[in-house]
Amino acid sequence: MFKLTKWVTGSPKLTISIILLVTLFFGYNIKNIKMDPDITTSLPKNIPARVLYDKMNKIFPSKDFILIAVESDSVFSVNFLATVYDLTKTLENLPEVYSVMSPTNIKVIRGTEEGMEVKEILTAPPSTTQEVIRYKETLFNSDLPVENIISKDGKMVGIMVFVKKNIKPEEAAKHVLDYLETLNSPYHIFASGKPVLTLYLARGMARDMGLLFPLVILLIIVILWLSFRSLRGVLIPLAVVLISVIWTIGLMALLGIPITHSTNMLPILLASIAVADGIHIVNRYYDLLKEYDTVKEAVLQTMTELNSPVILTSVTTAFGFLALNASNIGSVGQLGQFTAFGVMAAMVFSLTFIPAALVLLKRPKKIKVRKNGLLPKLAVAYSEFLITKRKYLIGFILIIIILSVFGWPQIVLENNSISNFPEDHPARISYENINKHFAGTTFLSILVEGGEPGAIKDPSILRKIDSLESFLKTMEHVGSTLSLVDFIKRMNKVLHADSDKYNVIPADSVWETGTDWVEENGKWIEKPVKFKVAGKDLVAQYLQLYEMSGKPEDLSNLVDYNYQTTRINAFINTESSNVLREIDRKTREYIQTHFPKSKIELTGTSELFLAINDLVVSGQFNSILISLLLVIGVTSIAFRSVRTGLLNGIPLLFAMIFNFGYMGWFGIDLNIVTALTSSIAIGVGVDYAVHFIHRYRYRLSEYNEEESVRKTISEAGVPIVINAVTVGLGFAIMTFSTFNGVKHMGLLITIAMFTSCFGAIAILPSIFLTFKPKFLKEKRGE
Amino acid sequence: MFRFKYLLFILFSVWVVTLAQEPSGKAIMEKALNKSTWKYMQGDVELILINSQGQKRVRKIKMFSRKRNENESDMLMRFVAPPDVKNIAFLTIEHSNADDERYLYLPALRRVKRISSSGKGGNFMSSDFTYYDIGKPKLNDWTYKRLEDEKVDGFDCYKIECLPANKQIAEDTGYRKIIRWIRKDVYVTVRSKYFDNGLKEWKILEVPEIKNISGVWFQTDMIMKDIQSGHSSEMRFTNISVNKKLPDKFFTKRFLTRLR
Repeated sequence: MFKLTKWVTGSPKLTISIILLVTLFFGYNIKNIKMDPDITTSLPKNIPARVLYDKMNKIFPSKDFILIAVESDSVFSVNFLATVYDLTKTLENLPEVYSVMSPTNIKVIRGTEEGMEVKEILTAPPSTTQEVIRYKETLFNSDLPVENIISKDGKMVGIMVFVKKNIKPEEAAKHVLDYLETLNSPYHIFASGKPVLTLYLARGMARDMGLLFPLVILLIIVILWLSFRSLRGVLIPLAVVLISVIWTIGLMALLGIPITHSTNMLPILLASIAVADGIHIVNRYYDLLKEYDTVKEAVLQTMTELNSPVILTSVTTAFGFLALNASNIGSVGQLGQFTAFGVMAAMVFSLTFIPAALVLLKRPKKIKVRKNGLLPKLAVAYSEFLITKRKYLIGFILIIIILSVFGWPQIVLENNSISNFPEDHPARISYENINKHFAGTTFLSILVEGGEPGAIKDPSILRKIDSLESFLKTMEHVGSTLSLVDFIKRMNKVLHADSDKYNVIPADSVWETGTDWVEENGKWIEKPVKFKVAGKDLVAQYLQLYEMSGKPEDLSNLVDYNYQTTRINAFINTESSNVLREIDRKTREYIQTHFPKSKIELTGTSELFLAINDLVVSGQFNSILISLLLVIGVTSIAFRSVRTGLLNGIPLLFAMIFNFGYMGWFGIDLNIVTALTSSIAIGVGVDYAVHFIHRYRYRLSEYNEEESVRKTISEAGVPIVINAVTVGLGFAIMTFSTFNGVKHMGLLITIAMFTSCFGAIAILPSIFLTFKPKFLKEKRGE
Repeated sequence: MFRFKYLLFILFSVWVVTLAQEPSGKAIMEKALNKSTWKYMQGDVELILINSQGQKRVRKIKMFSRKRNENESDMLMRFVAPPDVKNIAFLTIEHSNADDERYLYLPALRRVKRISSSGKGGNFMSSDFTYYDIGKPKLNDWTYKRLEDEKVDGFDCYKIECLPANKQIAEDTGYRKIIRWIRKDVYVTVRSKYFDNGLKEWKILEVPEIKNISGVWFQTDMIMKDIQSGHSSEMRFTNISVNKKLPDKFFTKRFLTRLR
């Protein structure tokens, strides 16, 4: 390591030029960075929920819809219906739109005197009150599920805009929202649905990026200025921060890795972490300047002392982030990989760029003299407290641990993309308004496979779908359902003189009455006949009749072309993973008991949410375990002692215990974002224990336990606290995010920084003093 | 004076001759529409519908048709396959001054049902062909402009741009523009391009096969592809016979039920 320092300080200009040149290259690439706010795309391609979802989207032409709600005191009026009619027509013609379902264009199956017609409900907006009344009657007698197009209180109409599946949902949402904006409509218009939420997520992420990163940089400048009061003291560590962020984002852009809801936090995390090494190096350099004549000598000595701790703390931090890969959620793994890369990059710059820059600069005229400030005095008082009265401290720690453990069972595992938005956010207001008044914007699709082509026309399968649909409707948050069965029942009814008795799926074999024309005595007469017919033929002929009356792909969103696979769409008015879980569980149970042999599968956005949720739980515990093991492993190797490595894990364990307790007591949900906290906190928080143990062992070779603790507290304790406060404040910037999830995460990591710091300077010395472990005295490693 | 008249006559003759050699778009279209035709026609049709995912629906149909007069005809179609729709029969009675009558006989109900007329722009048998596409257009509904000649499958064709003569035609048919390629030798349309109301390309008709049966040219294979949706429909005609007289009662509602 020392060779590197020598080379770097020997050719500082070359070193800096190389780094800046590569930085320029990465910086240029940043312009290609993409953004992908859609959480569901980060699900692994091979998990069953995803495979099924992709399969469904191969069969059916549209997957996402935007629900636009227009509010009026008089929905059924000439003027308002004209507005809705025009709006529907315009939306239909947008290039991103697959189809539109609104109260003015919905296809109604009507019985006529001689037959049946399938027709859009309106060919022109109604122009008189009489026509409006007739229109209203037709709509409500259509047997169609109108729950998503007419609000429960009758004060809003809903327009469902189905987005083409090859279009990015957020782009479609943007076009639609922009268009609604230009309308300047006198009516209140809301829009929600997955595409709209994804768009708002993207906008919030862009805002976070634009606001939080500058804030972190500003904070870093302030802290650096307070610490060093010199331009170089600010600029050199700051340069390391900026260069490592540029390299990391540049590399992501180069590899085509998008900014997602997870990687969005990367610049803030990385900046807060990357500054720490610089602070340590510049700080030590200023101290050593007093003892050395030349700048170069001081720099060489600084690096000799700090090379190893910088490498060790960076490697442990990087490993902590790499443990995020245990979660199986693609974007979370990427956050881990690229932050780890950034941390390693920051390490390299700290070891090369900083010494090179320091050597290039002249010896500063004024050298900051460390005064006997408040902190060193506090440190002395604190070490005396530790030595004489630590039983109180130990008692306090035990109480904290017990209280925290009691908080654990109260942790709620809940992913809710809506409560992630603040209460006054337009995304949340629109979502809540729409989902309160309509059937719902989240959907569960139940895929029914029939086997051979045409199997879906079989009444026995259709009856299963029918009963499943009725069952779904009994559940609280399921607002409505839609399937092919609704159309077949309606046709059966309409073709039997609108008799409600026929609002069912035909039996396997049905007695029908019809007429035959027969020639009797040279005359043609109509003669009533009674005959038996297969229900399957009846259904097939209804469908043929429907097809002949409509367009080729009218039913394509509900059944595939060969009538092999069909789906039930259930509309759900919440994004709460717990409610979705309950619906999922009950539905599966129903299918299991009633149709154990059928091929019926659940998919849709709600199932993706649940899959993410599952991965979060399994990933959470795996990644905590893995990061702890990695960190203990790395420190064991560094200290050449497994027991010392285990000691490093103790403050982290305490921090984790406290964090989960805090989440339980203060009602912070465990979700896809807050789940990231632990691994990150372990990777970063271990630094404090490393510094503390490193120093303690160093002192223990000369002094007894008590004196070693005194020395360690005053020599390492103070920088550890400053380090923790700096990094913690950096993470605390995340509480300014748009999203509640990120706010919570910022809070939790900040707390973890403080608790792992507390663990290092309180629990470790208590252990040292109480148990006086011998193994620490073994010959020093590294 | 005499010389001047003479000159005029020559000029006029030249003009007439040129006209004869280079017919206008409308003249070509008129000739294409009025070439020798049939009064009765019957044959087998295979209707193949293919959606954007490549899934197919195949219907086999027997077709009977007659022309009541120049602009109105009747058509009776009877399903042969697949089995679950066998014997469904479909009758259209065309009216030039009113909505067409369309009836469907459903053997499962043994009832004739009237299908609401969705106008000429409605889809024929839920295919990409509209009733308008399969019917005979009226010459004066469109204005014609000859574009530069092109070859289609090696045959010299006139290329004609047709624009709706009025707004109503555009609305009824759904087309704001049609470009037709008409073979010079036989005056049969062998390719058409249809444009929607936003003047975007909508559908393309290709005619891989034409046949002369008893002196009448038929497009015996037609593929209509909807470029916007990716759906396409093919109609293949076989066993066509022409002018085999069919009784009048053949094209009545009552007779639909008799077809077994």
